[in-house]
Amino acid sequence: MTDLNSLLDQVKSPEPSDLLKARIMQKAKSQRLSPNPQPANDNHWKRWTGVAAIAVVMGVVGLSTLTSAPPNEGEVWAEAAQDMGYGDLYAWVEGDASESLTVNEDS
Amino acid sequence: MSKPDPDNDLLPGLRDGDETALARLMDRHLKTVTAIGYYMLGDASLAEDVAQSTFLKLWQSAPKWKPGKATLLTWMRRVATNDCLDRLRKKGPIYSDHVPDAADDQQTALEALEENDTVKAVRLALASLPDTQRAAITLSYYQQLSQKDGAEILGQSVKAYESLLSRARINLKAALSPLVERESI
Repeated sequence: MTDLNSLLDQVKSPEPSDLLKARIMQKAKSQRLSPNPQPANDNHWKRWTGVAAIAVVMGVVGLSTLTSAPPNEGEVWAEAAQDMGYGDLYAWVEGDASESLTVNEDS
Repeated sequence: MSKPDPDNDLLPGLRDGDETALARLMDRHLKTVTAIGYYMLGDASLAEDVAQSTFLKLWQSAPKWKPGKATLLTWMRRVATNDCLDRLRKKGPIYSDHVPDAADDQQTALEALEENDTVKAVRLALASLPDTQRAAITLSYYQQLSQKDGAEILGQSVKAYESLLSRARINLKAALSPLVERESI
């Protein structure tokens, strides 16, 4: 043993504290609760979080667009005619027009 | 062919999440891993943090462990050493990276001598080494690893590792020259 080695020998690492093992065991318990734990450096799920967020936003926007779509033109006119008291007349005209057209085509 | 891992008996338990296997692994190697942190960082509390982090990383990685490559202990030594190097890089030197010139070395060692404290002088000398040199001394001297194993842990060629170790010893001898002279009388 050289002089340097004998000097280095004088620095001794202290024994780990009694609590260290218990502390590690406690943390280990909480880390392996799932059968397939994700490694700490695996960030794949974060990418899918972004995709899922975009899908949710698109779904909400699409749904609100569908539910707030205006009624078609025929319904608007029928409603207006009804409000003015000419609902029956409007229904007759609309129905009659298509009927007479069909008759004409047949003849 | 690589040597069989002496901790192979614990692998099935570690893979299956058996806490007794982890406890037995700690009985075998907790002191060794903590010592790496202590010699690298010079602080018992930080050394325990390094040991905790190392064992928990192993615990998380155990289900994916591929036997036949590095042994569990070699892997833990590598993780602990890299953790220490990372901490030193991020937090700045807990020990100084500065290698003092000869005059400073003597002064530092003499100051320690005045306090009649050889251990303190050696700790200061270790502290004065650059991080990777301290890692080489820790692995080769305090962990009694071969140069091949030490080189593997630090991710260096054996030749580069030998050079690192040689420079570390030269720097230590310079820093401790008053003590070395006194002891050789």
